[in-house]
This record gives sequence, C-alpha cells and structure tokens, in this order.
Amino acid sequence: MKTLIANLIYFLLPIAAIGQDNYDIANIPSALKSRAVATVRNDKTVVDVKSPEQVIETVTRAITVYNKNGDYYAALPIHYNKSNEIKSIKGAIYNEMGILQKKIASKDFKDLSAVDNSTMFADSRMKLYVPDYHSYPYTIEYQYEVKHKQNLIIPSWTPEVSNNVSIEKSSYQFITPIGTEFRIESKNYKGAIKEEKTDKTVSKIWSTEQIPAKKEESYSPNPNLKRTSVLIVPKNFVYYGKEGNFSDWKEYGDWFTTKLLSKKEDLTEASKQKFISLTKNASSDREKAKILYDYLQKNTRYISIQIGIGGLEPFPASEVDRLGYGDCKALVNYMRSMLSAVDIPSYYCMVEAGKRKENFHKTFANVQDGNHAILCVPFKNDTTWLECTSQNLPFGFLSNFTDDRDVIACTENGGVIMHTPKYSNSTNLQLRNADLTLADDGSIKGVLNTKFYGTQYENHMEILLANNNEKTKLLAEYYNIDNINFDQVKYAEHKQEKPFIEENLTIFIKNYAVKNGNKMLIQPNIFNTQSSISENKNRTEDIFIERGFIDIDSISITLPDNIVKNITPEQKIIEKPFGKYEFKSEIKGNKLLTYRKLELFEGNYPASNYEDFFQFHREVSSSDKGRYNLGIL
Amino acid sequence: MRHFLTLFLIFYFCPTIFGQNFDFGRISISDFSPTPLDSNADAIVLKEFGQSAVFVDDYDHRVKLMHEYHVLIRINNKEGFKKANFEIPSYKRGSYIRDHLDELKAVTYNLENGQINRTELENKKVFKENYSAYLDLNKFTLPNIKEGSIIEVSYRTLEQDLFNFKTWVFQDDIPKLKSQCIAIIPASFTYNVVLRGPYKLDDQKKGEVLKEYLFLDGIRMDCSKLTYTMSNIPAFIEEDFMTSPKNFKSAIYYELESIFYPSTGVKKTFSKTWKDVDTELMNEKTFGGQLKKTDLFKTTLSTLLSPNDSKLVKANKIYDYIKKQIKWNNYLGKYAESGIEKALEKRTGNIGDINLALVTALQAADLDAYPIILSTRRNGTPNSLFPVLSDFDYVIACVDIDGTKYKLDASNTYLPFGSLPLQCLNERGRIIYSKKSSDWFPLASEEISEQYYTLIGVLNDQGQLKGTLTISSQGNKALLKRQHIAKFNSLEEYWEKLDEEMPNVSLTNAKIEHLNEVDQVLNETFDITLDVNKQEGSTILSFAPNVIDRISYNPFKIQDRTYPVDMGFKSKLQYTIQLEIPEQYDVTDKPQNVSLALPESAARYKYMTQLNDNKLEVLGSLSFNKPIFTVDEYFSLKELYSRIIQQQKLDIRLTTKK
Repeated sequence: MKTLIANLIYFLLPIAAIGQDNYDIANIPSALKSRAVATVRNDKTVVDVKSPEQVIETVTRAITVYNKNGDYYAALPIHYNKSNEIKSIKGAIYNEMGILQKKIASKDFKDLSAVDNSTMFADSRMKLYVPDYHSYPYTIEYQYEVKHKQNLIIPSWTPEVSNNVSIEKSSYQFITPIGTEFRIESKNYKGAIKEEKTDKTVSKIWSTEQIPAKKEESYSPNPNLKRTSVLIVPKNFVYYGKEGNFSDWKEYGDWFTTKLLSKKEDLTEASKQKFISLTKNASSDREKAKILYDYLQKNTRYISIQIGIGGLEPFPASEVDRLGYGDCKALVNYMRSMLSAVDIPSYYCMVEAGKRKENFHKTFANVQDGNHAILCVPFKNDTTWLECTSQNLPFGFLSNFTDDRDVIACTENGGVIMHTPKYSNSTNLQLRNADLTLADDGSIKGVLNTKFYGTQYENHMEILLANNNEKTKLLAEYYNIDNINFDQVKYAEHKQEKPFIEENLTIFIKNYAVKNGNKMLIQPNIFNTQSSISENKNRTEDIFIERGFIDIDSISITLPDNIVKNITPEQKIIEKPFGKYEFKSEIKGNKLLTYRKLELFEGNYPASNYEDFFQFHREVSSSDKGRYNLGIL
Repeated sequence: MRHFLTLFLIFYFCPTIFGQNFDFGRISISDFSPTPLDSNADAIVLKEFGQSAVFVDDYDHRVKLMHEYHVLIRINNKEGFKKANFEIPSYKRGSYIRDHLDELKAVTYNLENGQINRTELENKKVFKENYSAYLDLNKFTLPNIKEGSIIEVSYRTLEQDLFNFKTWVFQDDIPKLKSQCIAIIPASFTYNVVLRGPYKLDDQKKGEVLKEYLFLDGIRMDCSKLTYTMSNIPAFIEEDFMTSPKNFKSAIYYELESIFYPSTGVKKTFSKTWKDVDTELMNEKTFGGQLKKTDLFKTTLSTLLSPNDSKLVKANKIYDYIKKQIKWNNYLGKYAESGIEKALEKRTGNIGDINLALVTALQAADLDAYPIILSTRRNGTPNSLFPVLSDFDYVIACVDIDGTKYKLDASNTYLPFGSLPLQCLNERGRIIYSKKSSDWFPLASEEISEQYYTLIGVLNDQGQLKGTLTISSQGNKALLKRQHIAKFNSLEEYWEKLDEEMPNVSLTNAKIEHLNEVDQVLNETFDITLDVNKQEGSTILSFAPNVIDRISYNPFKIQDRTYPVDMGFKSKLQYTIQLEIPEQYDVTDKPQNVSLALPESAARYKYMTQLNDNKLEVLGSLSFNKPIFTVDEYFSLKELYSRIIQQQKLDIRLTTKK
C-alpha cells in the first residue's frame, strides 16, 4: 500500500509541473529576446545517484523558439548506449499565448543510430524528436528520465548552449546518499549553492537565470572560458562493470594504465623481432622512433571503431599489426608497443583535439576531458609528440589539431598533465617568391615558389595529397585569380626538423593587366591579399588571435620594353600591438619589385583595441590591392 | 513498348553465352601495374560485375530479387584508401520483410617482393548498424591497405522489392577498366530498361534465353539474360552550375512494367503507358484521392473569396491561403504524406500535401487547376521515352486563367504567385489532367532574376561621397534576398551586419519595401557615405563607381568544361550611378565604354560613363538572356567574366583643375 502511494505521487508530480509553468511569450523579459533565436524558459536537471550503478537523470526543459533559426534548439536528441537506458520521454508544444497545441509521446521519437558516417562501429544510438511546428513563436517542453548504469560520467551542467540562445532559468540538482564522496568542479558560477538534506540523502542545487543572448563576434576568445559549468566525479566508481577510484590525475593515470592499457601491448614475438631488426642500424633512439613512425604511417590507417569499454579502451596492438588499421587509441597503443619492443618508453596521452585550443582541467581529474589520443616520447631534452592517425604528418609534428594545450599523459608515475608544443608566430611562416614576366598583351607568366611552415603546413596538405586533376582544381579555388592557368605544378614535402611543404608553380594569367587607352593597370600583389574584417561599433569581447603567423611575398615582375618604367616608389609600415605590416615596391631596371610582409601576433587584446584592429585590416587590405597605372610608349 | 518487344525477339535468336562473373582470387602481378586510365586516379576499378535475377526463395516460396556484386579495385594512393571502406545498405520493410546480405568475401592483395600476399576480411570485422527503423548498414573495411593494394569484394543481397531492380551505375568518381552487369528476368516479367549517359556499351545490349530456368507460378519458365558491358570509363567529375550528376552519369535504369501469371492467365501491369500512369495516379489515395476533397475548402473559400473577384484574384487568394496554412516539413514527394485534411489541421506537410491541397482548393473555387508532377534538379530529368513514375519526386499546381497557365508552388513563403524555385526548373514535368489524359509541360523559367543598383549622390571636395543607394531585386534574386533576411532575428540585425561587412562604406537610414509582398519588387534604400581614395594631398580623387557588390572573381575557374552551364534563370544586373562632382575637379581618367556580347546576345555586358557639366553618369549592365549555356559557349562565358573583372578594376580619376 505504501509503495502504491509513492508510485501515485511519482506519477502525479510531472503533471502538476506542466500545469505550473506559464509559457506565455509576454512573460519573457525583453532583454532576453534581443538577439535571441530562442530562450530557455526553464531547464531543470536532477541527478540522483541512488548507487554507483543507478544514477537517475531527470530533465524538464522548456524552450521558446522565436523563428526558424531557433528550430535547431527545439529538437531533442537523447543519446544512449549499453550503459544507460531511457526510462521515459514526453513533451508538449505551446503557442505564443502558452496554450497547449499538442502533446509529444515517446512513440513520436525516432530511434536512430548515432554513429557518424566516418565511423565503422560505435555503441551509440539516440532517440530524436524534431518538432514540425512552424507557427512562431512557440514553446516546446520536454520531460525525460534516463537511468545511467555507471557513475563515472555524471551528466554535467552547462546552462549556456549558444550565444544566440538566452536563458530565463536553469538549474541543476545533485542528490547522493549521505556519506558518498564526490569531487565537484564548478566554473564561473557566481550564485550560492543551495543544500538540502533528508535523513538519507544530501543534495546540492546550482541555478542561474536571466542570461541574455550575445552577438557573434569574430576573433573572440573561446566562449567556454566564460560559461558556467558544473562537473562532478565520484571517488569510487563503476563503469561498464569495472570498479575503480581516483581522486587526482596521478591516480587516474594509474587506473587507466593498469585497467585499460596493460594487456594491450601484445605484439607477437615475430613482430617484435621485425621492429628490432628494422631499427638495428639506427644511431639513436630518436632515429629508431622515426623509422618506426614511418613504418606506422606506411602500414596503418585510421578507421574509427569504438569498441571496448565506453569508447575508452584501445584494441590490442596485435590486432592493429594484423589488420593494418585502428582508431586513435589503437594506433597510439600500437606505436607505443612498437617503441617498447625496441626499449623506448613512451606515454599514452589523451587530449581534447580541435582547431580551437582546449585544455584539460589542470587539477580536476575526470574522464570527460579529451576526445583523442596522441603519443609522447620523452627523449632526454627532446620531448617528441606523435600524431598516430595521420599517414602524412612529419615525425614529431602535431598540427593545429592538438598543439599548445594541456593533456594527460599516462606515465610510469601515474597520470601527469603535460603541455603540447606551441607553434609560435614566426614558426607559422609562409614564404613566397615569384619571378614573373609581363607581356605587352597584358598577360603574365612565370614561376611561383612558396614554402609553408608550421600550422600553414597542414593548410596545404589537401592540395599536396590530391591527384593532378584535383590539384589544379583546388589551386584555382585557392588562388582565385581570374583566368589563372597552372602549367606546371610541383609539390614537395620537407620533413626535417622544421618541416615545410614547398609548392612550385609555373603559371600563366591571360588577362593580368588591364589596358585602358594608353595605360596599363597592374596590381603587383595578387597572390596574397588580406580581406577586411567586420566592423563592430560596440565590441564586447576581447580580441583573440589563437595562432600568429608571418606571410612574406617577394614578387618580381619583368616589364615589357614599351612600358614607361616610372612609378613613385612605395614604402609602408604599420605597426600595432597585434600585428605588423610592411609593403614596398619600386622599379629597378626593367623589373617591378614588390615586397609584402604581414605578421599577426598570437594573444589576447582588450575589446577597446577592436577599432584599431579593424583599421589595421582595412589599411592592409587597401594597400595589398595597390595598383599602378603604367604608361605605354 | 514496341521498342522493348523487338529486343525480346532478338534474344530468342542469340543463344550464345555472353557475360559471366569473373573468378574470385585470380589476381596476376600485371594487375598491379598502372594503365592509361590511372594517371589521375586515387583508385581504379579493374573489373566490376553485377547480376540481378528474379528467383523464387525455396525457404518461403516468395519471388525475390538476388543481386550479386563482385569488384576488383586497385588503390593507388592514400586518398584512395577510402575506397576500401564499404557500407552496404539492407532495407527493412515491416518486421519480416528484410533485405539480406550474404556470401560476403573480401580480400586485400599486396605485392611484396614480387609476391602477392593476401589478407582476408575477418567475419567478425563486419559491423551491422541498426541505422533506423527502415535501414541497416553493413559496414566493413579491408585489412592491410597500402598504396598499391588491390582489393576484391564480392557479396550478394536478397531483396523483396521487385520494383527495385538495381540501377547499374557504370560511371563513378574513380575510373573503371571494365564494368559489366547482367539482368536475368523471367519471360513473364517485363521491365523497361533505359541507358543514360554519354558513353557507349561495348556491344549493343546482348541477350540470350535461359530455357526453363525458373520454376514459377507452377510452371518451368524461360528467362532472358541481358548483358551490358562498358570499358575504359573515365571518372565522373562534378562541375559547378550543373543539374543532377544523374543526368550525365552513364547508367542503366530498370522499371518493372508487368508480370504475367500463367496459372491464371492474368497479366498485372505496373506502369507502361502514360494513360495507365494517369489512371494509377488518379486512383491513388495519396494523389487523385486527395483531389476529391474539395469539400474541405467550401467554408474557407466562402469567406476568403468574394463573388466579384476575378479568376486571377481568386487564384492569388487561394495561393496565399495555402502558403500560410500549411508549412513545409522539408520533405519532397509527389504523394500527400499525411493527406491534405490532416496537413491543414496540423498546419504542416510535405510537398505533396501542400500542392495537392492547392490544386484541390483551386478546383473547389471552380478554377481550371491540375497537378504537375516533376523531378527536381538534384533528382535528374525524367525519362522521356516511356513513363517511369519513380523518376518524379515533386508535384506543383497549374492553374489556367483565360488561357494563361500559371505554375504554382505553395511550399515557400517567399515565392511569388506563378514562379517556381530553382530546384523545380528541370526541363519538363507532366501535367495530369484526368484519369485518361496527361501531357508534358515545359518547366523552363521565363522569369528573369534581376537586381538594379541605383546610386545618386554628391562627391565633395574633401573626397567624401554621400548619396542614396537603392537596390531593387526581382525574381530569384528577390527570393534569395528574402530568404537571407529571414535568417536574421530582426531587420536591424540584418542592416547592422550589412554595414559591418562593408568596411569602407557606412550605411544609415535603411529602409525596405515589399519585404512581405513577395510578388512585388523588393526595394532597399540606404543613405550611404564613403571616403574615396585621395592621392597627392587631395589633388587626385579616384574611385570605382560601383561601390558595392562588385564582380571581382570569375565563377568559371576550370579550363575545360564537359557539361552545360545551367544557371536556372535568365538574369540581369544593372548599375546606374549619378554623381555630382566638385566644381574644382576634372575627370582625367575613366574606364572606356565597352559593349561585349556572346553570339545572339545570349549574354551581354555594357559599361558607359558620361559627363554632363559636373554630373557624372555611369551605366553598367550584365545580362544573361538564356538560362542554359552549352559546353561550346563556356569559353566565351569565362572570357566575358574576365573582361568584366578587368573593367571593374578601373577607377574614375578626378584631378583638381589647374
């Protein structure tokens, strides 16, 4: 009888909740409507840890959508896999006045695979609801409950979803039995944490409200740095049936190494012998590692297969050896096993990969950080990093996918936070020399030699790897010059210490100069012209330059005899805290020589500098397009 | 129809065996050496074989289709590695009707030290992904792939759907040395077979008769075996400004026409003549069935329309009503997905729901309205020899008002009465008049996509230009602009963005006219201020007169064109600039007047400057007077753009009077 009442209450509660909220659009403060495509009216997440293998996540979320662009945020995908179970889902749609239009039942959700196209296998599915309601504004409300059968990954709280979505109210409640230990990392949370106790449980409640939408600004710092978040990790956990505990990165690394990595270095004796003999003539460990990395690149490729517990565990080295492929974890483990075979120690590292630099939490050990694995080889005074999923990157070259960020390395002393190498302003160099000849019909031909260093290296990998047909097509897009023809295309990779890609082009541009009466108009700098950036009169965010670079273009144009070789020489230098620009041009003999150098310096600059930053680009852009009107004899 | 019968006759007199599958695992060292087709290929198909046969499954006695597929691919470089990844779909219809994949074999061959080493795909490395309620994906990748590896894959699939006689695509994104497909069809089945694309078959279609090949419907039945082979097929390379690659790729298409059941003597026909299709469509609940529901609109129309309305006014009102009433759910289709009644109630539906509702409502108002089924540009052009219903993926309404036929699509809020979106402009559709009659209907748009820029202003002696800029857009340009503006939360945000994107120009006092009156010209006006380039201490002022949306890049980049350039619409772009220049300046340099045209004025560019006292007038216009340009015209188009770019680089220079 007692349980029956409890059940009744349990079922009644959500219904009452629906009745309580009033989704009339008129109730939304106007500050929240400005620049917003949608407003989160109320987002209430309750995470109730009943036991390590029973974590109940209950979510009630209501979102008002103002126009078509907000539909994206009204869709609800709930991901699931072997470790969790969707217990209930339902929803409702309300019109502008907050009057119920229709109810959404569990059967209205589509059950789909959540495996992306490039993945061969992953244990990932979702229930998806995409509203087909098109009378704006409308409000959609969802209620769902998910049972997690593990407590290592606890649903975290990040109320702000996007700059163009405002938040009226969002809260997060975390309930645990009295006496269980958890570590909590809350970022940018300014409110008070409310605590509630019953005789059996403790709960903490975080809440935030009235966050307006923001304008999207270019060159902004990572928005996550300012956003509120709460991340919780238990002391003792159960994950896919495996028990464990860690309270810091050191212990995390120990757990990872012993439980997930230890049995994975299982190369056959024959394979080990092969690697020993491959490297027997190498003079140093570095040399050996290079040979093995080359072997890795020639004999394996990246295939995404997320097997093993919750996508954390690599598949064994012997399997990569046999099949010639693996995902990032498997390939890193394979490389590590090859190095072990020749007695070179290395560290399996986890990293948050992506063009946007994201750091691991420095002191807060958790498994939610990271989406990729790389390998660190700690040579004496020469820590080398290897990206094991690429068949092309030079030895020791990480690229802008994993550069300059905190990662966790699994070392003999447990987990250690390490920092990957940074590509400095001057490393990201693009060096171009052009030797061209202008004909009296206005066409120009000649040779263009460009070297791409640092992160500019990978910008050109796509062209480097493309077949000849495709190369010409890509080059035409890249240079985007009217009627440019590539008569000869040569690419070379120089994979030494400071690796670079060298591009050698023989070009012909039919309508290069514009003839107008007895004048010929030419623009000497055509291969690298800066475009201007958006103006922004009320800049709010800092200016953030994630990676600096230097571009140098030296262009020599031999002029035809019938041209008057007389121009006002130009020399321009603009120096700013965030960058420097130099432009020179003059005629020497029968040659028009142009030198252009643009530098942008990595860093954070106050928002008040934006006008200056904008003017800098504007001046560079206009100077880049500088033209000469040359007289024809 | 007659065409096809002749083919059958030929088969009876050709009893020799033609195509057959090649042996699995017979690889020679020479297969590893490059061929002339290899030069630009990341990978190449050395041999490809496919066979589709109607058969009776002994297990459940159902008639099914069996597809066999066998391919040999050489992977030349790392970019070609992706060809070693396979994804074979298995369709599911209901709980027991499922496609079935079996007999999968896959091997990688590597030439190492003069020896061919083979690595087989392991069974447990084939992953079945439950993609959705209707589809499973069988995914696998071959082991030990290196540059130069050859892979061999063969499998078969069993399918329940006899209509789905697989289209055989000869041409792919990598070249093929040889591709062969065979169809084995019982004598009692008739399929329509169509070959598309520019390449020729090695031999004309070859057929033979397989005597008493199949036990079907109580009797032993002959089958015909049709073999199609093509060799040395280059890779298909997609170009800009083209309709569906389907229209150009070499492929063989099948459509089931009829089945004859000897036991009962009944012949069940599917689609064969347009008359049959018309009847089928009109009897179909989700098509013709919807058109009967005129009662649904009786009450609405009585309030919506007034008796004095002309036919055109009535049609317009109904068009607007449907546009407002049913929002598009982003699904195509010639059939009504939820039915127009439900769509009206839910206020959302697919293309079929919306435009069949439109036809029905127009008919309810006693207007002459009919559905036109069509194939969208991405879907390819419909077969013109005989009806292939599955070619059509869209329906629009046609209303005839005193002899003028208006084509209507109510799925897009921004589309004016009588115009079609680009995706519908695909040669021709079929207008369905009744159960007994239908006809081809040209879809090419007569509409011109126009944009006019007018700048009237004053340039002062400080080098500041102040004026009023008007941008008028019509046709597709207006549609695109309205859609673009809709992406912003407010007009203010749109104007802010517009202003910010033009660093040298400041826009104020923005106004817009007819944003929601979609059948009218969309007019935008701005007060505009810009600083022109000053040299030598303001003694020289120079500026390009068309201050915004200048043409500075050539959309035609590649050297040679293989397929026609299809822009969808005729178009016109025009600049009119009237500037008062300061008294103390003279115009010392200005671009020469030009007039360029393609033969028969298919495209034309004009540029003219004129000075009257201190009034400078610039007139520029670019028009494309037809929507589709042939491959032969490509070079001229590219050159035209090149000349425009050159022209637009030129400045007008003013110098202080001496």
